[in-house]
Amino acid sequence: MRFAIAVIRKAALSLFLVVISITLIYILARAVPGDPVTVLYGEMTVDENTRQMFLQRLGLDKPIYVQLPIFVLRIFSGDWGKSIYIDRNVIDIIRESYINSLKLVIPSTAFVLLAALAIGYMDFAISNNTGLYVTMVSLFSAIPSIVWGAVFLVFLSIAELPIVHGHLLPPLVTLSLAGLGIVYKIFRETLLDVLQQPFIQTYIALGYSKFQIYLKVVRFSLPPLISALLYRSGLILAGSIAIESMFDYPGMGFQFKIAFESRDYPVLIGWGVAVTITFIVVYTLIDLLHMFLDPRVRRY
Amino acid sequence: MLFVFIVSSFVLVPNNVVNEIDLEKRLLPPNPHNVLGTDNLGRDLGLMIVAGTRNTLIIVFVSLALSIIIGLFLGVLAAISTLFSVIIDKIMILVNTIPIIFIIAIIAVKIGPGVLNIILALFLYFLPLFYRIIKTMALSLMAQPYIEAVKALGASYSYILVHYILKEVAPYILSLFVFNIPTSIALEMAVNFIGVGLDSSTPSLGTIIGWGVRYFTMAPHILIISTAVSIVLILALSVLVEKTSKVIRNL
Repeated sequence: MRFAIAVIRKAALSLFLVVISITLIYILARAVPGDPVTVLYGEMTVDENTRQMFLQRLGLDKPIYVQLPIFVLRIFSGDWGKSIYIDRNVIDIIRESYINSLKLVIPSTAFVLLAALAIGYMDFAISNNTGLYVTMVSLFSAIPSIVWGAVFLVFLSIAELPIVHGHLLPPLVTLSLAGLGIVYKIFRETLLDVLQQPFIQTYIALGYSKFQIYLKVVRFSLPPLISALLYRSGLILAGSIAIESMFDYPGMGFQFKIAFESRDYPVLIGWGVAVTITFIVVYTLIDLLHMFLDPRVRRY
Repeated sequence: MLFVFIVSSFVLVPNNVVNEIDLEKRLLPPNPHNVLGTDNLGRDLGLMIVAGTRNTLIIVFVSLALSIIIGLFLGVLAAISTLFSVIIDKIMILVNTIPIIFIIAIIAVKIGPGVLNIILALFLYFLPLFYRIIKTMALSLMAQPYIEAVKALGASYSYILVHYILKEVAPYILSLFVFNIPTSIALEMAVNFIGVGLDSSTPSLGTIIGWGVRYFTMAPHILIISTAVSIVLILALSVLVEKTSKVIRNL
């Protein structure tokens, strides 16, 4: 019951944060000097009627204090405007690429979680060769995901495999590899910390097997691992823009790149709103999970 | 540690002889004239990569230094006054939630690409982080008994700040700077790869990798060489980080 109240409070708070962020996005988009219509047409002169029509469609024809409440209300009612180039609603475009990104996030997160657990077991229970693991971890986590993508691309061509554009597999492999390094680094630090705890000594003295002790350790180090994974999936949802556009995968990142390159102003703003909401939801989820998993954090 | 600094200053030496466009020699593989081959505009890839690495490092250093200075200022201010701390905390939460790449994209759409965009992106990324760390450090220092003693002796806030807080915080700031170089290089590469930051006349590691991917089927050497250079650079910098963290731990 008290947990439910805490959940409701968190949800209300993040809703408030969403409203403020949307407001800020709108003010930002308006306050930056420059004129999207001029950028769109370049050197060509635009006649007054077309310009007025565009300004009205983009919602730029009235002063900011009139437009702002309209904009925020429209976001919540699902009317995110129309793309300049394609005759489609922004919310449909965003929804489609969001689902594509989710297809990328879920397997990648599952893989990274399982692989981190497995490597952790090999690292601490089976092998004594810690130097190898330390080197591998720092190697994997230091190299940015964009370089991983390039390496993977070169590898594909050396192995003479076809580079399929728009397929799920190449970005999935790249993101999982790059994510594994970072997540395992965090997990490993927690494991090292947990193994120092006195209760591990007690379990050893009680004669628990290595696997049972490892399970206890994992349960204890679950909160940081889960929050690292959740944070990372938020990042992927926000568009691993570079990786997705490297392999032409039609997710959020690719959508951002297309919208940016074609100067599609409404889609760009819709993207920003969607990503901001995702981030706020992910942060709230992390907080709630911490409350759920770690009784010490529960301050109702 | 010194080695990397020498390398980076060596990289700073050659100036812009890079933009010699020669359309006759487009996308050549490595040959005696151009040791590493040429790019899509016939520029020498070796020179391009040297200049690109230099540009990357300059961008990274400038933006890290900027965010550390502003973060230090705001953090110490927040440690002194509760009112400031409440206001700045709220602003930092908002900066955290709005995606930085979106802010940069809006600026690029409305004004145009440029170096300042990337520096702003990195600055906004690191500012909340540095602010929080420095604020926590300054707060714990302010609670020390000897600060109380100095205050009782009649020292002004500015005196305490310069002579005690800054002195204590300085080594940690250096380590913050070094720790975040690899991350910021990764960020710089991502931003430039997408094309939100620099235009094609200024090379950097990210833009070169971007061209490499675009011309990969015709000229694979661009991507292979630039990727290899980035890996070597980042590994060297991680070694630097490890060494620095050892030095700090022994302090």
